[in-house]
Amino acid sequence: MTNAIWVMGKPSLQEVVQRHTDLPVTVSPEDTEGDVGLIIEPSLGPPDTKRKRLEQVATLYPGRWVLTASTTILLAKQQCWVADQIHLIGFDPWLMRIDANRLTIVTDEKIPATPLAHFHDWEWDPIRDSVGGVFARVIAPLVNEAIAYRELGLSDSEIDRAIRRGLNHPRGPLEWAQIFGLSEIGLLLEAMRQAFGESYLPHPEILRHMARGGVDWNA
Amino acid sequence: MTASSRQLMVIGAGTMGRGISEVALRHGWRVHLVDPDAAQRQSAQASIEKGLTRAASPEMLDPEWRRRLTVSADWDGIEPSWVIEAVPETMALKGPLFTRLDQEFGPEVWLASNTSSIAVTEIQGVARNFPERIGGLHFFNPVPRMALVEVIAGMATKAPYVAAAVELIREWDKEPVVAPDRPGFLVNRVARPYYLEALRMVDDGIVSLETCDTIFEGVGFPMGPFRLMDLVGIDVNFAVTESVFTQTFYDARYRPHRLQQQKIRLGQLGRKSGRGFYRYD
Repeated sequence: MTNAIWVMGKPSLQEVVQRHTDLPVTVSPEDTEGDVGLIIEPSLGPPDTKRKRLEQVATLYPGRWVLTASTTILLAKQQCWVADQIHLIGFDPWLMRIDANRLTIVTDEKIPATPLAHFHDWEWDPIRDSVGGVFARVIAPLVNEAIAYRELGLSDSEIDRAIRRGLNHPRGPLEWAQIFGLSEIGLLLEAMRQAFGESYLPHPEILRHMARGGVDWNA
Repeated sequence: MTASSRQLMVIGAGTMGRGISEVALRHGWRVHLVDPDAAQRQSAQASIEKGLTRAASPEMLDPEWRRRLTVSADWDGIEPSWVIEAVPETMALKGPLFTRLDQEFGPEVWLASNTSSIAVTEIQGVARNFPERIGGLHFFNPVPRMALVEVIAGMATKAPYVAAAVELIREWDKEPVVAPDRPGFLVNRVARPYYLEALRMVDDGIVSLETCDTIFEGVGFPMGPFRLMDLVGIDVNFAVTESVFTQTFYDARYRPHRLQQQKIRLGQLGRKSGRGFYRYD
């Protein structure tokens, strides 16, 4: 496979990424001998799992560029895991998932032209290396607030309608939760809690959802 | 006093009171707009006329609407079925007003506060004759264009009030959502992170405010958080956050941000003052 883009583990991203590049986009290819131009590692955690995935990439594909989700684990920390074996650029996979026209990236230097030149129409906004990034940092707490209203007797559609009609948001908070998954939102909130404090504690319903799915930040 | 059908009394002729009056007039209600400030009353009448004639085609608008609107400094002799209070967002004003309304109007008159963040139960606490007929009707600005209205039942509000409020809002072609009487109700509570996280990120140098706005506008938000705060008014937005923060007994999630406070101190309140996070001159 010559000069392809690989997306690790998220079939839902493949279609989105393919819309923005002429290179073939493959999900977790078995052909480990192929030539890959860019690897996208969109997982948010738990940290041990993410570390193992990046170390595996570093061993199998040294010297490659990797676009890695950096909204839960600082890019600086991920760089320590893989030393200089691979080149990392941080990004917010949620913006990619909803096919935003601008994506935020975290990088040590100026925007590295080579790996991002594979995409013909995405615009890249460099931001500082920080847990939550920009978009996810707002959306996860917004969902956390909204979830509480379920227990007060409001339906998801009532909550979403109120936010869309009252604030003109493009989607209601439970619609965001549907897209990203409550477990991912929980992972993000857990990461924010560790970075910024207890006020980001996920709502008990999110914690229950994570527990039922076997998702644990500390696993 | 006894209630007359389809008669609305709006107290406060500011932006929200004018908008509510305009909507009720458009739907055939008789409206009594009450405000002690003569200049405000005069300006409100012109604004309502402009709104009604601009929004509706002549054949759609009942030409008699002018006869259905009265504007006065007090409410002597008025017998409304609904009273909607739309005075500035402070209990120092709302409290004595509801105490008086509760004393002067019988239990058949529904009383509503267009509060955006003050607890309805707190209002009921100063209107103890018939607190069961008091609730919140939270309209959104601009009232004629925004479909949603939060209907808030306080601890003492009874079910018939909620049913009557929902019916009223539907009659006015708006969408009611029954929200609990918790700080910020539903919309203003859930919306807090949109502003507060944005303020924290910009203050920490993670992203510029312009880029932050562009990112959210790029995924379909009509305005990024900073452009929206400028439109709403930084002081207004700050006051809502402060109210939620206080009512939650200082939950850190809702701690107001000093970046807003500094802007307010400089008089940079947003579009209305020509400068907020952006310049408008």
